[in-house]
Amino acid sequence: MDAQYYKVDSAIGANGVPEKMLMNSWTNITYSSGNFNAGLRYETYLNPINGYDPRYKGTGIPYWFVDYKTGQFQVTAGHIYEQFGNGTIFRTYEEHNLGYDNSLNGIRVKFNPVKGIEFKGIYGTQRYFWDKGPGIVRGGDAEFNINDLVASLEDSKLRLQVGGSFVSKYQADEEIYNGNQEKLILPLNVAAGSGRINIGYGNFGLNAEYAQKMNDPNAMNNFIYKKGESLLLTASYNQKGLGIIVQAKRLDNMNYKSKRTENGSVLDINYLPAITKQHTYTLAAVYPYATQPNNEMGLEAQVNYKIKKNTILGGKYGTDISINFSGINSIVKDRVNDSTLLDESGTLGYTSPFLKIGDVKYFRDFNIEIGHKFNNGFKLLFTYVYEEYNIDVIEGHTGEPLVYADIFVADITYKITPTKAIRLETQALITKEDEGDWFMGLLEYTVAPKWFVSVADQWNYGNEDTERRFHYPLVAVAYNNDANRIQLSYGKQREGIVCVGGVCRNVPASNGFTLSLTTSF
Amino acid sequence: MTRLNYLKSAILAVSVSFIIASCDKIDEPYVIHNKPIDTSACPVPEFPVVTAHYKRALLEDYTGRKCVNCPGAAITARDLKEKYEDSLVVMAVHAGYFAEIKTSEIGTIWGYDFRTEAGTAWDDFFKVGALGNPNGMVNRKGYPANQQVLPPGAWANAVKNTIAEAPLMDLQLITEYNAAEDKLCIHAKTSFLQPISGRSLNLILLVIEDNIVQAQKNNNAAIGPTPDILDYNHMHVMRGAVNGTWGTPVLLKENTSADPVVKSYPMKFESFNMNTIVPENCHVIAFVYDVDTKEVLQAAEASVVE
Repeated sequence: MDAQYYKVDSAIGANGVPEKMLMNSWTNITYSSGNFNAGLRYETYLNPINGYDPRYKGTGIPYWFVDYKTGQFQVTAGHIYEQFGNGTIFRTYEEHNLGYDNSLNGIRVKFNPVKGIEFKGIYGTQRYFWDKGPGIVRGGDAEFNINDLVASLEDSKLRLQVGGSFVSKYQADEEIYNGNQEKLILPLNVAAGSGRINIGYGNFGLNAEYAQKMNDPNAMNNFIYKKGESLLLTASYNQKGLGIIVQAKRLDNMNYKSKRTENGSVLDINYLPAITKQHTYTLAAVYPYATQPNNEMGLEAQVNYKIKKNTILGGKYGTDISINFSGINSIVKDRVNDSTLLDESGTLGYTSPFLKIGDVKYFRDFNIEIGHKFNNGFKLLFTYVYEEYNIDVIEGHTGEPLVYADIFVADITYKITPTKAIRLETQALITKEDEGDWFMGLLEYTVAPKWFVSVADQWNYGNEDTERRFHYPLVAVAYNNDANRIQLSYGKQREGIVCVGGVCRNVPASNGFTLSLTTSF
Repeated sequence: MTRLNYLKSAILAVSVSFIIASCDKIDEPYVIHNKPIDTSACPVPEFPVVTAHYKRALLEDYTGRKCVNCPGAAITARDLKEKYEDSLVVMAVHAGYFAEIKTSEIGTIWGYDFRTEAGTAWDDFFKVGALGNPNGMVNRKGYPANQQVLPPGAWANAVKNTIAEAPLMDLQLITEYNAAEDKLCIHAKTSFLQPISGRSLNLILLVIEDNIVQAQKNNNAAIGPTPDILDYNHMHVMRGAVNGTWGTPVLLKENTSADPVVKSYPMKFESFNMNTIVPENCHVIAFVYDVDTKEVLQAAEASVVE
């Protein structure tokens, strides 16, 4: 349960609410007995906390399921969370931090005829706040583990998995005009298909998935008829003390929803993962990247290295170094012909050469993290992040310039006794753009395993507008007891973006109390 | 059955699934052109004969309720309209960052939204908001040389120069509103004053509303309270495009202009999500522009209710 008490603070843009207090709460109940599983989730939004879609207002059971497994079959009825491959043509999931739930209300069948083969089939409609979306989604997925199927490969160093999926959505016809004079001829059934391969050899791994979506004119692509395409490539190498991962991605017109005219973060049939690092430190997470499903090309590389113990740089415990880079640009869009504008409704929209990288820079992130334990009680984590952030494209702040930011974080933990620890975080964000420079300090005292107290302040000391150099102090106390946790915080929260896996939510500024209660039994 | 045979039959089953996977492939044309117009419900009237032709300028003021400098620009537009009267057509296009509405603003004094699909598309295309607000365009001149966006201080000169040009065409507009049926008939007539060839021209029709009282940010105490004018009187607000963001053709490249073209459009305010509109406060704006250069050749304006 999360509850927030609001005070008006017009300086930072925190609006009060007539209810004074708002509350979101979720209760999951599951029951298992042998091969039978059932569950439900009771949700209450009275009224939804600011920043969550107001259409969640209400109370009810939007999620329930029953599931039975027998021999080669598993059947689930009710609301389903499922993913085919990487999710590029189908993924339903719930992330209450984002206020996101696109569960499929229908039926799912899994069939494992022999070891190494799995078929999945799904059929249903998606959650739309307290209602159902207008489209019907159906699809199937097949995955083959070749090592299990070919006797000679059973003990091979080469590991091979292949898979394929298809999904189709149906939505009844409707009248959509690109002007008063031209009615769009809409496809009622829109299919998408994907193929994937996963190869492993010794310490090397390679995962590739290509997906294609048929003509799908919708509000997100301005009702154009071009096919959608996506490609995800991941290569990795791991050995003791060293890990390397390189990812590449191309997305072109891949927004796939079960309602044509929807343009919010709801009713997504597919999921397009971000290949940028998800920073956890507050100031490093100020400019998070949000996947642009219709238009992006990107690359990410990460190297994790552990400097060995008992060396000059490694010291007694070794030193962990992680270096990460990601860069995302637009794709190239060419006009279909001279008389058609780019992305013009009721046309093919554009053509795009597959391997050409577009000129518009969306995001750059170079970061390095160094972690070192000096002795049994003293640990230091240092992080440096350099970011270039296209606030115009990612947050829709039309006309605002690219943000160039340097972020420094030092995180020092000192263990006073085996159960008591004190942690100090100092963070600085330096930029000439947007709201200018920020500084943050956080002091945290933990008495394991039950108590935790923290005091923090964010200070926008570099805001160009000297009257907007606000402080955002926050005090928090939390108590854990077994599987119960209660946290109370008081202070100011700045406006910002919260992202999970490339899907983002805007959090408005607020001032007041926040109570968070988690319990399980 | 061996595992390998399972694999073969499974691959076959998946392939068949792909083949029968439901999908409707749509080939060009993707649209049904010329939705039949019920002309019997909107009979074309007689247009009066025009003997003196002059060029009317179109001033587009790109603005937003959170733009503190925009009330000042609106006064510049108002003063120009008072000076040039019928020779100048003004519209306020709410688009871009300063016109955005946040979820948290719903239910507050800032919970109104004047953005339109057409306004946002133009703002993106001409990069007006990209240079900040307030900014505007006069007859969309300067595109594609990237000279189309003008700050308020440059509007007067641009309007004066545009009005002084000789017109290539005339544009007449007649509106007929039936309040009982919520039906508005718009008739536009383009008359070419000299032969035009090798150019594609489109006609755009828009609904504009005056006297909408809503909150507006302001930083000029001479205009009103700062930082918020709670009862700001929004004028010339573009509420929607009647015939699409980029309009409909009145001349194609392969043709040479000759006879006048009359276009008639029936519309209901309700069907344009304009049910909050007060018809008595509305005007229809029409303008004809060159599809390649985007330059506006002629503009016209008529009240919805006389």
